Amino acid sequence: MLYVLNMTLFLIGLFIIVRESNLIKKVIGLNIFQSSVFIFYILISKVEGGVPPIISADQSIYSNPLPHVLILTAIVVSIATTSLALALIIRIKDKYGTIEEDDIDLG
Amino acid sequence: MNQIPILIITLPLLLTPILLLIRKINIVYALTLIVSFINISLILALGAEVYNNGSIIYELGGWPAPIGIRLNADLLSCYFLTFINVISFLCLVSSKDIIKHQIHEDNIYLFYIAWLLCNIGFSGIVLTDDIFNLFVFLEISSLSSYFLISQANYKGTLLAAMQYLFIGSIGAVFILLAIGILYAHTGTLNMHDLAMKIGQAKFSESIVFALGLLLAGVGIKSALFPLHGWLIKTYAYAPSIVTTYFAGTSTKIGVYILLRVFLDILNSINPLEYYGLAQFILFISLLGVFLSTLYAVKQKEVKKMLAYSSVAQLGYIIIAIMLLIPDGLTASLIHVVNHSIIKTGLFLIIAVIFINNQNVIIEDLSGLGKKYPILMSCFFILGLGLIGLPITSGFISKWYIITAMLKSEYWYFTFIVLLTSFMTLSYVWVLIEKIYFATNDNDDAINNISIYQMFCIITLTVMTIYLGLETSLTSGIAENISNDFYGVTGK
Repeated sequence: MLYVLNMTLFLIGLFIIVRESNLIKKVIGLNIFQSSVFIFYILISKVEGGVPPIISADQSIYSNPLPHVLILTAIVVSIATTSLALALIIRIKDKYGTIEEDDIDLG
Repeated sequence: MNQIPILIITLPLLLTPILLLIRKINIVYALTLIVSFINISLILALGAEVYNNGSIIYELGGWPAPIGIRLNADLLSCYFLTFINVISFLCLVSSKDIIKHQIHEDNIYLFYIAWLLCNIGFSGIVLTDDIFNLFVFLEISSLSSYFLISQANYKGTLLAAMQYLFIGSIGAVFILLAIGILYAHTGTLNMHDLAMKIGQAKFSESIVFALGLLLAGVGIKSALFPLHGWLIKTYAYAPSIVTTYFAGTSTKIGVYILLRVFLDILNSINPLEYYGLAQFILFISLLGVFLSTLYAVKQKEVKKMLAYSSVAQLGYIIIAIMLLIPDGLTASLIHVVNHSIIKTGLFLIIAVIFINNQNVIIEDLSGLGKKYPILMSCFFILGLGLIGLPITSGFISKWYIITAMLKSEYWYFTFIVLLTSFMTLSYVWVLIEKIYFATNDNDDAINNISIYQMFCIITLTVMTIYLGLETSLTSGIAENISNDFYGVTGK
């Protein structure tokens, strides 16, 4: 069930990127899109009956910590992408006077 | 010797923050050149070692395989590594005079830093043995390439960079999700380990889903036919030297990922044979080759024409891979290198001559044959290579592709390859006719072509002829690689 919700989020993000003309909204869509994959990684790391992976004497089943660490890297990448996109949008606004992709006239 | 793979990545990586502090254009440029040159020597040493004694594995931090991250320099890696770094070096050498005219002076040092980072990303993708690491390096190269593209002052540049950012990120996220699914099935990220465990994992629909995502992601990166839109725009609107660099490298990286993932890692489940996936890609690429050659014939702008021609040539490469026979793989590997050299040369000549020009249309080439006799004879030879006429390397790769096709069950496709070759002849001939037979009324001053730029262009031309006459270098290595992949002994 969680995976279905997760994939819905994935598709919503993709839809926004494809459908929207406003570049800021597109960046938001991209963030939703990326976050859904991050959540997917967190979902697969859950082990049934597992506890947070801190070694203790009375526990033997732990959740998988590796996906969390991987996603930390991916989040950094996503932040870099977002900031680069926003920087580009500022320059687009300066140059064309609009951030609506459809209104930009390349003549 | 064992340390070389990590040095290739860390040397330029360590240099980048230092360059950020130095900022003086001349010093930054010199240091970039020096480190690129050191890299090439390291890579050649590594290549020779790998060719003679087999692949070299470097364990990061001394952690053994399934837990730690490894770098794996095998023959395929070294093959790609060599030509990517040589092309990057040649472009860097000739870049200095060109970018002065195109990029704001304050940004030039950042431009070189981004260039280095981009090249680190490419080298990392090729060297790594960890599939998540591959994603990280992919993003390193993509992020810096968005920056490189956005630096030109064409009217459409910023929008092209923005659109490439969106489509590139979508591709990367697809690959990330696919990696996640594969990880959930096998519990490993190491490529060798994954290759073993994927065969034992229970087959399920989600693996097919992952394959689809991977294909889409890789297709975007390698500009596989219906996903090639970004390539035309970025090639047309990027700074001309960046176009030159990317024409030879960035799409080839997509081809590398395709080979590595589908033919190496997932080899044990034969992913390309599900639901006729290989045939599907084959037909799509064939259509792509035909249509993009048609578009190239119709183009008025030289850069766009060459960009469409790139899409067509990538189509040949993909077709040859999808034949799924060793000869096909050999042919595609040969064509990867030959096409890189030819296309880089052609773009470089355009970049060197039209330093300021916004959009180079075909008429602009009129009468250049008299002004730049040596450059234009290089252009002529490289053009012949693009068509695939004898004595150039293009002939060799076309020959291998057609032979491979005749050996496979798709012999009738050779007609389309021959047909598109004739169409290539028609658009290259339009350029050559303008250069040599049209007269030019306006006499613009002749640009000073520096000796370094001349050296790079002549090197690329000589390489084209050399690889056309002495084929044992590329085809020998390519045959070795494809024997490894389809090996009789089994991988």
